[in-house]
Amino acid sequence: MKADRAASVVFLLASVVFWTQTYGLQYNGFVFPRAVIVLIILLSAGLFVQSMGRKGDEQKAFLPANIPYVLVSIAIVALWIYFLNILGFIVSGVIFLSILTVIIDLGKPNLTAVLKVVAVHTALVVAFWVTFHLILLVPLPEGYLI
Amino acid sequence: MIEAVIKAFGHILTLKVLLMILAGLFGGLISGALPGLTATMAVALLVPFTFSMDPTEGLIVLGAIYMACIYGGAFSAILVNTPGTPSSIGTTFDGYPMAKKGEGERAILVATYASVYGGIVGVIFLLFLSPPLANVALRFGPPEYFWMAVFGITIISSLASKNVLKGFLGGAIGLLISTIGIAPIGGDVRFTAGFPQLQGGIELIVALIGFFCIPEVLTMITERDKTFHIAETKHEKGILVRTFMEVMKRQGNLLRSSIIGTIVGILPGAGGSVANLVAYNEAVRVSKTPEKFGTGVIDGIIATESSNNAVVGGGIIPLVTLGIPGAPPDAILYGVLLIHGLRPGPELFSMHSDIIFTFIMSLFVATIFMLPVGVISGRLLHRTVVRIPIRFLAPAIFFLTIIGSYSIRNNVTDVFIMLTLGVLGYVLKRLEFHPGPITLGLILGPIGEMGFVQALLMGQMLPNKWMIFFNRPLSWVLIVLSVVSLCWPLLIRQFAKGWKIKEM
Repeated sequence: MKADRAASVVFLLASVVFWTQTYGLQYNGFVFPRAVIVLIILLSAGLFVQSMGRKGDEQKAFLPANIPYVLVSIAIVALWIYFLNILGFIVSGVIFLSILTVIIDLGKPNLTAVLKVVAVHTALVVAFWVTFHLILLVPLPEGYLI
Repeated sequence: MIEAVIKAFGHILTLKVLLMILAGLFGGLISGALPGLTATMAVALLVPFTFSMDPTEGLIVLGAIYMACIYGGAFSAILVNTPGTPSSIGTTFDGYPMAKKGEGERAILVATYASVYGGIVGVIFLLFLSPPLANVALRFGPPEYFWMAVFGITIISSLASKNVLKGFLGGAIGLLISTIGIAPIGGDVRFTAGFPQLQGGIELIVALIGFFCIPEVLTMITERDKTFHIAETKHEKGILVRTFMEVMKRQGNLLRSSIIGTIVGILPGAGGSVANLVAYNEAVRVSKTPEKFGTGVIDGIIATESSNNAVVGGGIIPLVTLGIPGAPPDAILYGVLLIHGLRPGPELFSMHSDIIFTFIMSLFVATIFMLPVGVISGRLLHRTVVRIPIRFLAPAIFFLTIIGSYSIRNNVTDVFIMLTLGVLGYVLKRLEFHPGPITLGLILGPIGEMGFVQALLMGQMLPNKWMIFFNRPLSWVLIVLSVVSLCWPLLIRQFAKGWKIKEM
């Protein structure tokens, strides 16, 4: 319930921030967002009260056991997105997909296993690139490489 | 009309046209199953391939793609908890729990049968009831659209039965996110924090991928030591026939959801994303065991999949009768008709009846063909996905999310927004907020805001402008529906208590 309480406070603060952002807008621009913000404030207050009233209730732990892996994965994906327009779709795809697979894998990586992973991901990325870029003419990220 | 229908069948039942329908179905299925590639995108992407065809053939192929794409969205909704298209949001609620229990194959079969049923009902409505239904849709003005959005939001009381407060809070967060960008009326730039990239708003598909897909992959990563594969599969003999009988026994759910899909499809701007959630809500409300929804029951999948495929026929009704596209893919079909020199509207039936009846009947044939195509490819896909180890599946889903969110507007900012919303979605998931209400808010936000502000502008001529929301009969129908929908879970609980007392 502590997590709910903290969340309700965060939502209340965010609502205040959003409300201040509506200053300077025309009536037609702010009337709907302000109505929604009032709704969020009321519901957040309700959640706060609810969390106070249910002290004994169990809620699953907010942080999961493998949280470092989650954070590392998010960081790798963020880097991948950053490098999309630099390295290009294929190169960035193969590199970051392989890194993610090696990190998520439970066993200790050896050279043969890593090469297999790279081969699988190269096939996957190239297949998508051919289908989307060459056949369907869907624009994909293009960097200095491919 | 019968003569025109027979003639239309004559056009369709040739090897060339049947092969074109099959090709369209496969293309649509693949597009639908890939998160980020919506029916609108699939139809738009494949329009150039129809330029060399005659108008009838072009429409036949695009119709097959449209129908299959809506159905294909169920595959990823069931297998990886990510709706392939916004029309399959509701399918994740029961489809993914079924897949986790090892019943993914059964869930896909249920989705296939329900989609075919819904598709056929939609086409029947399109064929026989086009003009009267289109006239009802024309009576919807801004106040009615606002109340329709309110009615849609009340669905949350059924979706988030575990904690209604969190459900509505999630819905309100979705509504607020939908207001980011340029205001639909007045043109004010709102909540962009100085980033010009946000002026175009948060793209619905990008948000959908973020809220549904990323939290699921991150959860897979945290539980990678518990499960090597996504789920163990159960191979059952006679599953095809048994599941078919199970689905067909639920005629009430099938018919109700298909009619909901058709009606929502007729309303311009709503579409499958709204229809599947309304149908799910109604299925929960009517059910004798509403508490089982969300745990992996087939009724949930039947409701969402029959309704979203009925939207296809429903959405084409205002297109061919009034020249107004009912859903976004219909707007592409509108353009295709114009490209081929056909003006959508009442004269289509009088001047080009052969083309339009052939198109309608080809949708019917495509829906029937969806049965074998869906059963074969759906089971194959299921067996492939569940065998992929998490160390490969999780990165592959990340890869698909990047392609999907990039291809909407071809910019990397959308991919960053997708990841940010995904991380927010993961945090909210840990706090036990369901992504369904958030995305419902995102979908209904623009419809609600447009209706709300336009209605207020209309109300300027009244002594009290707010009365515009309460002085039209259709508005009252929607208000009553909203109140009933909001209070229904409470009423059910009260009734249940009463029944228990009687039993004692």
